[in-house]
Amino acid sequence: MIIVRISRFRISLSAGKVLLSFCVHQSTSCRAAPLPTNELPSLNVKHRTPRQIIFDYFESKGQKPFRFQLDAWKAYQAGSSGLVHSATGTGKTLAVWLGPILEWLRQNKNQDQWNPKSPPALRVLWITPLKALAVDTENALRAPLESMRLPWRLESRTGDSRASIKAKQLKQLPTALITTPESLCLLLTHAPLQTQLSLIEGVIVDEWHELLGSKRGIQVELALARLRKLSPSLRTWGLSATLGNLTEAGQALVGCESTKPCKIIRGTTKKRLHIESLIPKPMERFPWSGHIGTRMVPQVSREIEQVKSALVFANTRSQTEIWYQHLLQHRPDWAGQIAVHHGSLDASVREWVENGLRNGRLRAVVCTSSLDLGVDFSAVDLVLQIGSPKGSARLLQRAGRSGHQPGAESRLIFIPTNALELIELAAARDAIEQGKMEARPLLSKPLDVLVQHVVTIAIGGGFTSENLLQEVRTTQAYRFLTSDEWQWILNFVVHGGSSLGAYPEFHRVELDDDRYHVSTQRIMTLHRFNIGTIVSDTAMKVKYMRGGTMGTVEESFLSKLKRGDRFLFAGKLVELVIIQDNVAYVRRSKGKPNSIPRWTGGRMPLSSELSMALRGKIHEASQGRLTGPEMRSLKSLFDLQQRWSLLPQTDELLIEMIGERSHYQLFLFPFEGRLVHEGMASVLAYRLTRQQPTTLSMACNDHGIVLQSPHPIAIEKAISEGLFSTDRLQEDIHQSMNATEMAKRQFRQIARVSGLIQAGLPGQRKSTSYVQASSNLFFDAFCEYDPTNLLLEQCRREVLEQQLEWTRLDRALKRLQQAKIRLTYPTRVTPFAFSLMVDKLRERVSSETLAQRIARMQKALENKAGK
Amino acid sequence: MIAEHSSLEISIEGVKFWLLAKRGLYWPAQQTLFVADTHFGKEVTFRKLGVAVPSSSTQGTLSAIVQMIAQCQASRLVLLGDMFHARSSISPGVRESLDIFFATHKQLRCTLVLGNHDKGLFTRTAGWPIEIVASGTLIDTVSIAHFPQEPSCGSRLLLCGHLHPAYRFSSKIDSVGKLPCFWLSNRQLVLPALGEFTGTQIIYPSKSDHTWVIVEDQIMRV
Repeated sequence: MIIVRISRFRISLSAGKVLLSFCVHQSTSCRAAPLPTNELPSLNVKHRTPRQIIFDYFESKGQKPFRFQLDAWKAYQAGSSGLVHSATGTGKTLAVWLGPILEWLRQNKNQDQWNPKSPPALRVLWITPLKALAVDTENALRAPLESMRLPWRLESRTGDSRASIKAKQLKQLPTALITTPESLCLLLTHAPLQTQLSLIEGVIVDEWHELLGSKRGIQVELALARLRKLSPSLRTWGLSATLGNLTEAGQALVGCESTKPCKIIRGTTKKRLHIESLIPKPMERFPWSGHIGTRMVPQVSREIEQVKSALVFANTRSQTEIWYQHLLQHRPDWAGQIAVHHGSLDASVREWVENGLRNGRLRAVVCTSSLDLGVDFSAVDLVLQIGSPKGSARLLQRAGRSGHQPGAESRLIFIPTNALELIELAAARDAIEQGKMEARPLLSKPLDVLVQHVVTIAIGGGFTSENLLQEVRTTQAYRFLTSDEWQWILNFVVHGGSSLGAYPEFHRVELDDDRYHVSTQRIMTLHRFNIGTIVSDTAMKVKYMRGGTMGTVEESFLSKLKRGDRFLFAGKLVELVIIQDNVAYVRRSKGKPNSIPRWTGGRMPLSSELSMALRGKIHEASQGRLTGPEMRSLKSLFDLQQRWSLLPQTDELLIEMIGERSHYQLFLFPFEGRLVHEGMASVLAYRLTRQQPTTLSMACNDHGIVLQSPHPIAIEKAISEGLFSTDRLQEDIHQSMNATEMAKRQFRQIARVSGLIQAGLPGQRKSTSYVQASSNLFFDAFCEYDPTNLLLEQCRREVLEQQLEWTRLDRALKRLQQAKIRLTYPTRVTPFAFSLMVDKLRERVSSETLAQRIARMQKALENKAGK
Repeated sequence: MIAEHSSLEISIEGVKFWLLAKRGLYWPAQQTLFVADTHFGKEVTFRKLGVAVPSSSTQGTLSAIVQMIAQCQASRLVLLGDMFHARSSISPGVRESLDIFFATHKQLRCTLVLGNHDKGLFTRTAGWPIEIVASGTLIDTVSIAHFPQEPSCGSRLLLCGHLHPAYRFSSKIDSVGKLPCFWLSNRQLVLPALGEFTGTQIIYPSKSDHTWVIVEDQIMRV
């Protein structure tokens, strides 16, 4: 765990802007390791020791190796695996990259025998989470190779690599290969590569914290298990940001069978950090809710003006588009100097933006988490965060994107989009000061990924059940995989389902004697197409009529558009012309947008650590203690909340009830984060609807829940009868889930990963079009005809664990059971309730029949029309 | 107007029909049942390509037809295209299910207008008593086709399929998602897809259109 000390704390108030800066550094020694005299570079270049060569390299850059880098090299030499964590831009890359190089130098001391024309065989695999990072990584890794004149061949292999290079690699892999999780899995489908892969000495996984806890991370775990099988002495090293659960992260990386414990090496984090908030003036008129916050545009552009280059982080892709437009409207002279960057944009557009940042040509880039990772933008000297970062680790990481040079200060300015977000920032800063970083929860045995992996291995040379099961169980994710589950997986890929209802036509993996393999070329091809689909939702390309790809937008958004609808994309206003062959053709448009693309997965929930800190802050406010500029600026809001309702203490639950004819609203404020609230809302609504036949609509945000009903809600009675009880919680969740169709949504990804939905490649779409069916259809078919299908089971589990954060939900309900209920009946919507009220009500739970509901809706519509 | 029925009598262009909640249309005067887009054997095609889908949806689709025939005492069945999903859909199992269907409905006259999925199926349906007619063929004053198109000369109404229409039902505070529907627009009545393992497509009716949605086992006029 990182220990953070506040050594400097300065607050200055000037013109409505509050500055608060503090310096973070680590308690361990950050000094460079002393250079032993006998290791000084020798004049006889030919006969330098490997260590000298490395030290010379550092000296050529005017640097010396850090202590943690020496530690990492030593551990690598000892054959250990491990995890290096530290802030970005502190030399992590060299800590893991030079280990394998030192090893090779030791084995090849005679430089006369170094021959660039016959580079060494494959030794190192470097896994990067984003293919966009591969180019930068390649440059960073090549620098020391060239400086030391090593005869290594270094190449990348990602979805963007040229086909000719890929084909060449299949014959002879380079000495070191940079690749992505998907491309690595694809390599495993080529049986002839096994001999070469068995030569691998080290695998390095970059940005492991990004992959950890995701299905792509599981893909990596499984691939690593395979590589370890092929090359038993394999060393696995990971690079990570600092997490709350580093030991677990390390375990997932090195697997469960490792005889040596995973070394956790902490890098230097000597980085000065300066976080301030732009507090609007006058505060009274600042909105209580909203998530765009564009009224702050003038202040933001003033900040941008004062620096060379800035990154403006927004939480969603549509927010980036809107902010970009507003900044441009405010400063038309910045055209060409500011840009927008997010994951849906075409790779060429993103590359252009990234290059602009690198060479300092761009004044500002409005971006999403797409620029959280990797790429080193030394020119950036300020980060602006629009809206709550939702977690202290993310706030810290984003701040670290500025002041990348050694010794420089990281500066972040927070732009609240509504008043309550200021409390979140205050809480996040408390957490950073106390070194409380979020943990990254791990996934447990997702069967869809395993289905994919099993087919991958069946294509890449085949397997026997016993051997592969043993191998799979060495991963952290599948260490508790049961034999029944394994048998089901095998049945699923061989028979298409349980062996009982054997499907005669089914055809995927074949079983000959005890060997599972794939012989049909078509199955292989389809599977290879499918491997890359964990990340991509069904996305549609957006192209200009005259040619040129702008990027991709989720199909669900485009399918709702009509011809001529205008929307912002890649910083431009376009209108839809036609959708053809899975491509949306657009042209430039004038006027104002009339629709906003919605990309899924945009909104992060408040982390559990930050939720707790937030409750603490409100508790402080209830005691009249307002520490820090953010909290003080909210004084009038807190006063109002106190007057109209109350400010809950940490051991209290605030419930506000507002009612008028046929429109009753119940606001609950557990402050537990949006995901927990979603699950809680379904359960509470389900329990309430069992008490009385009614339909409850609900909405959630990070702070609370609102339940809305056409009938009055007897909340006190419900609480006394166990509304917050954790008994039968799982059953009640399943019941309410069916009503809310969360499972169907979750099933989309499972269907894609397990190969039910054939993604196909753009352009090849047509040939696979008659095996296209929506995941909803599969879901219905399984529910109806194969209800024990384990993928359904997994779906329910994923909804529980990921969508509803079951563990957190259980804990939260237990807390509420203990809490003192403070029920108030405000006459007006309070500051806390306001943002919930304006949120669109999305989910509902009903004990009325579908027909009753439709009838009621129609009646309401007719009443309105009659008025 | 709200009506809740498992079937609903309507009159279009002076012709009386029953809309059935099982997704069929019955014309009492002709004793004829119309269904669209059955996509028989779709799951077979999927399985052949290594996509696991449970078996029974063809059976489920057929039993819906059987029930409607019994309910209305129909003597004629008209399939408005896309009878099979693909060439590879006619597996021995699917063939057997259809054999049994035709064997138990010997009196039934069966007519098919070919749809886009039925290309090259002429020879394959040979074993069954199915009469294949051209798009736009008239039955009394009503023309039939797979694709929506202008009613044929001499008819005032076209019955068709192809679109798999569904209607999204929502109000400000409530939404029930997509519901399959019958859609009457420009004297073309589009039937909902009958096949169990088939998707739907949202339609946006104009003011002069009529739409009837299927809510579980009931038909409701929108």
